[in-house]
Amino acid sequence: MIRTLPIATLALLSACATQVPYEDRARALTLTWTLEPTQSKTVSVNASQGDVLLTWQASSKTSHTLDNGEALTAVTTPFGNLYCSFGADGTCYEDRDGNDRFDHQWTIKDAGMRTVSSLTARTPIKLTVERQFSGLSEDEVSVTYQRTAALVYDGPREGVLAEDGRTFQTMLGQLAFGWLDPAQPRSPSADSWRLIQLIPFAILSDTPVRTKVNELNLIYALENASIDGAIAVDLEAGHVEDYSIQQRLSFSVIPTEPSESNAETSAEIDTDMSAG
Amino acid sequence: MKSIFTAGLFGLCCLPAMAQTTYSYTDLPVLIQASEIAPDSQATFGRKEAIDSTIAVSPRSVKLNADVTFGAAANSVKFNAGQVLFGRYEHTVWTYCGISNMTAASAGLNMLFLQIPDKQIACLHDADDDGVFDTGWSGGDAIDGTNMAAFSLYGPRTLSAQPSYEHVAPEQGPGMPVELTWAKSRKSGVIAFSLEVSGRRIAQTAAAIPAKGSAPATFSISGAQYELSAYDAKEKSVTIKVLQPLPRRFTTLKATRVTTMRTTYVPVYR
Repeated sequence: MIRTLPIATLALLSACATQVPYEDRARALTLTWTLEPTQSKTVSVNASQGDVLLTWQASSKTSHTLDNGEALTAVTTPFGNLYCSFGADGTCYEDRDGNDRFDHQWTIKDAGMRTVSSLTARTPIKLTVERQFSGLSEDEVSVTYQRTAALVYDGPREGVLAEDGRTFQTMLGQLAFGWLDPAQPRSPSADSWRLIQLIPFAILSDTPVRTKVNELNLIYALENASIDGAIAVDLEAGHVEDYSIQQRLSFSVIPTEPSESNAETSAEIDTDMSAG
Repeated sequence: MKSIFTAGLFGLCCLPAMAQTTYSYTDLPVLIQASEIAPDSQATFGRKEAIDSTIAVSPRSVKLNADVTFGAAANSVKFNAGQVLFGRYEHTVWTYCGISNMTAASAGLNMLFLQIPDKQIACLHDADDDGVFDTGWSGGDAIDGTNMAAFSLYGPRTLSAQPSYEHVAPEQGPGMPVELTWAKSRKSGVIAFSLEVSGRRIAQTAAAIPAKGSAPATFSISGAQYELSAYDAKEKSVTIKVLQPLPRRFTTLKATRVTTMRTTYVPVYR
């Protein structure tokens, strides 16, 4: 017993010291998206808290090709780029030593099925034979992966009521931008919805303030809002290239009277209302 | 002793932490109703007496048109026709919840065997927005009989029937008590005032006790304004004049639940 005790202790301590190296740990994948609004680009909406106001078709495009012709998409991770294909089971490759050849291969579980969840690459293996890859030219690029993004009215947060006791005189609320699975109804367990970012949404005076979310090419003007969650809002959405969910959103206030100013930017709001 | 040493090493580096704390959060959008206290009224309040009071309701409420039961026997709940449920919003979805009446069978089972608190939050969801509830969801233990905080919902559960419902004015929904209370620190001449919703503080301020013969101290909290005229050290009471009672306002309360799990390692001698 006395002899085995130090050995057991050493074994325990060595087990403690064994950890997965950071470069081999699971990595969250951040894709770059092209966003295309799926309905009329300018809409006036009477909606209620929780309603979908707008949707976009989000597409991620191929950027590289493997030596066997398989198309790949460059994806950002916390520890460098991976190059991924998205089938039912996705595969990513990594050029860890920077010699322009892939030396590691990763797997993405359920890559093609999870329409709202985050993608994570796991369990890298070192390739016995390194594989060559090359960049695609502009006309060779194609869509590799699609999702639906949506803008939802997420309700008021704080507000001062007007004399009628039902509508807001001033209000600070929020819009929720996230991934939506259009094939399933949203439920309290959020299976078909995943928040990407919150967007401030306010009534500050009698005149609606036209606000542009620069990274989403989205303009909104909140006309009125009431305590039960009803709103009237004007929305205008356009095409977006190279959107990443990790981008910090910036906002511009657009003057409502064109005669007063031709300039689009008059103020910038700094906000830290992001999640997910 | 050696076993304890080994167990200690094992516990220190390889086993999960001895105590693990998790935090849960939920937002409660509420409409704080205007207080009915008359402006310019003055009164003396003893310890634990509310200076001003009102209720906070959800901005949405619905009335059930039929009875409904759901859940397994041990934690089944029943809502009755005519019962008004409060709206809960999370993950872009509204559900309508109540602090449930346990059915007689489940209350009995719980009391006898499971030690489950008899106050549970339970919710109903209308997925297709057709005015009929489709599924039931469990919201976990209620903090008390009035607090609407449900930190997460578990489900879906099949309903005994799919009851229709109708929206009613928020004021008709269940309310959480809102009270302005006071306390004095032993070591200072300051009175602290707290606005509490279901016993949880949501705002606070303080005012210095005015010297005898001097003007009252004015203080504001959550849009209301009062005057502290005097503090009676012998009676432990304060005299307050209401300048502007609690106004009707919309706000979002942030509720936090802290759960600490403790694991105790017991050495085993063989």
